[in-house]
Amino acid sequence: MVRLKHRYILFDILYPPVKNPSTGEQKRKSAAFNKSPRDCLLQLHTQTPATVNGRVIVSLLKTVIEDHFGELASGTVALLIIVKYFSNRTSTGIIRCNRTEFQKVVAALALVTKLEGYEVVMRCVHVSGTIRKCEDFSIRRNRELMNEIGKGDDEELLNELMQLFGKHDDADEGDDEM
Amino acid sequence: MYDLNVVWPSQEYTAPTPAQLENLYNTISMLHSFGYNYLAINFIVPESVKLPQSKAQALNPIPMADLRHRFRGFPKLRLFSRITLVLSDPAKCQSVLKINNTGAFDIVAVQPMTEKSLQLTTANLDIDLISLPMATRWPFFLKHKTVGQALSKGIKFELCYSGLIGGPAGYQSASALGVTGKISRKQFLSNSLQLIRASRSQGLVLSSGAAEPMNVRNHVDILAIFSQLDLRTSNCKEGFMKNPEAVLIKGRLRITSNKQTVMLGGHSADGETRGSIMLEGEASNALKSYKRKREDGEENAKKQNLQ
Repeated sequence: MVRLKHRYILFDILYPPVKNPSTGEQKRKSAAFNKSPRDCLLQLHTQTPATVNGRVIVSLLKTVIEDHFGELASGTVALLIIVKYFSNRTSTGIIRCNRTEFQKVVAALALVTKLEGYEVVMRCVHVSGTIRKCEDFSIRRNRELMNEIGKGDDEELLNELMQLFGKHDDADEGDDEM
Repeated sequence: MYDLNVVWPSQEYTAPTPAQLENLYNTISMLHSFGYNYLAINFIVPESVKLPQSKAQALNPIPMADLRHRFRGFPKLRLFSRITLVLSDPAKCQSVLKINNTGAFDIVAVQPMTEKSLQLTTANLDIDLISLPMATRWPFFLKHKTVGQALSKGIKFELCYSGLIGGPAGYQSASALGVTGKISRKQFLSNSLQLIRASRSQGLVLSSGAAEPMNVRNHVDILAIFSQLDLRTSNCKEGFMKNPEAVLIKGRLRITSNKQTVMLGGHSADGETRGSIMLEGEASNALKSYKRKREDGEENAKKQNLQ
């Protein structure tokens, strides 16, 4: 008997500045966004509001898939989507889906523009056959990201972020020292 | 990676508002954070706009020096300028030739709206990129012969995905797309199928056409979308790396060389001429930067593979 195989998609949610900033907060964000690569990264990787959870994301993806690929795909692909892990603090998550048609799920991620009223860009970061590899990759990537952000000199901010990512890694795997 | 279509906010020679400029800056930095390092700012000219052809200086409204200065803190980021001429009347193609001579833009692209202008662009014009209108219905059937003719001359075709991602969609409810939004998306999909079929997945340049930071997408996700449209997966990465690079080099050589092979004027370093072909000065610089870009591209490719 062969094991039933899946694909695991590691994705993150990014928050770019809106096109026409109306409130003061949005204007401030929009003006600060293009100062340096570091500011850009810091703004993109902000926390996800508490209203967003795994269920919201699944239902959103189901809508997108039905809209773009029809009912055949929504039956064969969308019904099998499960969000295995989602962290609001790091805006990162892992989706489990069908192995043969995972491309449709990745495509659906790219077609998302709005999530719970927030304008977002969803990005597939990594696809793998086991959830373990996804976690490993996420840790490695976060470490790289930290290095990139760490190029600046703002110690305090850096520490804060370290904690943020550290929590995520702890949740994934206990043996990470970050 | 390359993205040859970052939309310049103004379609005429009027200066954009500060808000629009800020939006452009944000788009550029967003693209950079997504790993697109070679960006071309795209100035789209409708046919009704008259080009100031007498002055080469005034031809390019994009302040490239300012932009480059502003983004000097972004590692590896390179900015180029591009003009896209919307062409429906073949008689008006004279302006293209004149732009070529001035070298005000790094890339010259044409958007043919009719079959005649498409024929003319593929057969006669010396340009770098053909960008077919993806959101509207084409009044012609795209033949492989026409596409092949352009590809053999080194002109690539642009497949710009903003038509699918931009627009009024926003998944608040199932019907958020609206009727017109759905039609234009359908048209986009049908057109890209045609283009992929006619080009046999070769010589395509994938570009974002981003007018705001929201329209930027990861290249893997875009490839996933187009793999649903039968874009061959073995070739599709070239649409982000090799093909746009070829377009940039073609544009560079169009300005600095004659017929892409012979470079006129100047003497070689040791004062001796090697036949009629001399590669020096700008051309050799172009070659050097070509090699450098190749290496960069390979590095990126390795990184992507690692990811």
